[in-house]
Amino acid sequence: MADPITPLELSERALVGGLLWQPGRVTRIARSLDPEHFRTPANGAVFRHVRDMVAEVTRAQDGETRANQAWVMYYAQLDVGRRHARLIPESLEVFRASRQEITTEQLDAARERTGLGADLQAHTVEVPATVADADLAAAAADALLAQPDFDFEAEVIGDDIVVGGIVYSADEYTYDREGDVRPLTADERDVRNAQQAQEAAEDEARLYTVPGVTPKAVLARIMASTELGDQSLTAPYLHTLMHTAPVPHGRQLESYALFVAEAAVRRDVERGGMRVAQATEANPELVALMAAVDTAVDQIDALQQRWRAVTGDRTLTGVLDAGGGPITVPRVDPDSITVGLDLFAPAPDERTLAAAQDSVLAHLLVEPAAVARLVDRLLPEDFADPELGNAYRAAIEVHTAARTGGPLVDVVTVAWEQQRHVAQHGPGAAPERLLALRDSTVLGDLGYVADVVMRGALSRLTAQAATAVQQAAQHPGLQPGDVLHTARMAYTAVRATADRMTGQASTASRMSGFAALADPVPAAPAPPAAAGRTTAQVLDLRTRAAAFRATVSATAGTDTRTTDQVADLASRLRGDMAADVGRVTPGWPTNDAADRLSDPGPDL
Amino acid sequence: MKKQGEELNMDNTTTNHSTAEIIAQQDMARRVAAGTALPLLPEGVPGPVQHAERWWAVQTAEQDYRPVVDPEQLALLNRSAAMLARIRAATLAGLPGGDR
Repeated sequence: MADPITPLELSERALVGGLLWQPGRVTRIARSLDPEHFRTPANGAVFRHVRDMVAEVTRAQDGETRANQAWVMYYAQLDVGRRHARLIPESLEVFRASRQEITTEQLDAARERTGLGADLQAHTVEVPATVADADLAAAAADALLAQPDFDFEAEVIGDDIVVGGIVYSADEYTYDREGDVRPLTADERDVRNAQQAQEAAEDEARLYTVPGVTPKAVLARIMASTELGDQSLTAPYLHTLMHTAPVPHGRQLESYALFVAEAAVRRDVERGGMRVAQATEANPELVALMAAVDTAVDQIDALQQRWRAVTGDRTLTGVLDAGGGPITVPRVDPDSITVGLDLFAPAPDERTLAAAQDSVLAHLLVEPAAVARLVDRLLPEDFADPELGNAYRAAIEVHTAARTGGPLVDVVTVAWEQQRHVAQHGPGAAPERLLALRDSTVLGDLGYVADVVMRGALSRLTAQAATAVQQAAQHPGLQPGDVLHTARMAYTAVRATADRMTGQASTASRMSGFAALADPVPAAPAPPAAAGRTTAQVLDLRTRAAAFRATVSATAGTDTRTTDQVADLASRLRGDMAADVGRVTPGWPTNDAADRLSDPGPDL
Repeated sequence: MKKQGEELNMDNTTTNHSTAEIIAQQDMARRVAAGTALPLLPEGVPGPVQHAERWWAVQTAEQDYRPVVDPEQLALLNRSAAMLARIRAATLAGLPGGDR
């Protein structure tokens, strides 16, 4: 599946790609747009390198131009006719030539002093830097004489048509055979328009080409830099960038820059505590994944209901008669199990994920207030690296305490807080690592790097869910009801994480998401030990167990029943089948039902 | 001569600054449509808006527009508006160098 990209990402890529085609355009755009305005750090990095390279080349060119520049103050008479204006060489008299600028005030003073008035002129001319000051006046005079004369035909008439003293635009007219003019036909006009468009494009390309700033040179410079985040800046990526957008023309790139700037403003305004109209970060990739997960959950719910309806009537004839025809219980469709994984193809690779995790921590350690922006979305469990997850957990704790007068988040407070959680969650990041993180380059926008970490978490969770569901589906000892239940739980965990990512979750679902993540997917159950009972008894018990469990699960999921009812169901479950269930799954909770509401626990 | 803003200010809900300075989103949308209020971002309401020579915004936890008084928020809005104005000018400039 192709990597779906957001409109913002597309704008960023098109802008940067366009600048790789015509780097000269960066100068104007960089007056308003900074690399930090890009949401994706890689795009911002390319922008920064192109901007810096063009600035360096321009500076060098300016220096060269200045070195070859001379100011000359001169008097000359002009031969001016109706169709020409020409400097008369014999009349040329250079008063002063200098490498220093001749200012307007100096010119005015000289005009007054000599009484020559407006006939005294001052210009800049190009004189090679090698010319000695003593020879400057002669060289400047040569340069003045070498300047092309004004040519009325070339500069005013151009390729237009003059017939009978009237000038006709060549865009509209052409010569006819009788020496007169006729309007262009539509076809001729199209040809002319196409030619002009091509010439304009060539002019633009020439105008915005900067010597030495080629995609290859940009790549070499990026490779030579050692900053974080350049790992995704490869030759294929630059190639993709250049082919994302057509060759730029007109004001297109400025428009893209406007989109990028607007998105940056949206992020800033939202971060500043004010509302904006558009969601700042639409995520089609996530939407597609969640649509698939929702479909899978719906299918599972439907199957679960059907299974319950069928097994509610235990007699074989009842099962066969239900629905008025032969009933087959549908298998769990393997496609619906793996669909989440397929959709999540553009999951971050390990290096990107590691860099993003480091960057989240680096952000927090440098900018303590950043914790507030993440705390509702990113959970410690989302980190693939448990040490960093624990450091993040500690940062949240410190941040929470800071609200009531505690110290702010920094390397010392986080390191201190980490040790309090060692027993429960394991060790956090070593102080040396925290220090290195604090001093490391922060990789782009915090929202972006947090998203990368969460996408990584979602990817792992989806993979675990798919594996658990597949294992359950292939397990010979499991009833379909159990399989369906397992599948539902697994996908619900994915859903909860996704809700957090998109910020749509209520506090309650965030809490349950937290709980689900603490033990994201139930481990595959051990094969049942059913000794001491007949197969029929075991099957019967399993059917009833599945029905009970589904009811409890539904209660936990929708929260429509009271805790008493859940406790009642749970006690009946334990009373009826404790021996069997306990032997099959040692992990099945035997404490009170409230725990089960927050922790789905392992399934059969 | 009356200012354009005064002429087009048809709704009588809120602009009296002596009372509580609150403008409902719907009313602000009307002002934006009438041209008496200028939104920071093209999508307009409920984003920040310039109205009556002040910035108005819907704070994250609220539903209605209030004048922005927080200096940090004001600085952010002014900075952002200036940046967007510069880029829009560059976008609209017809020819290379036309915006100089």
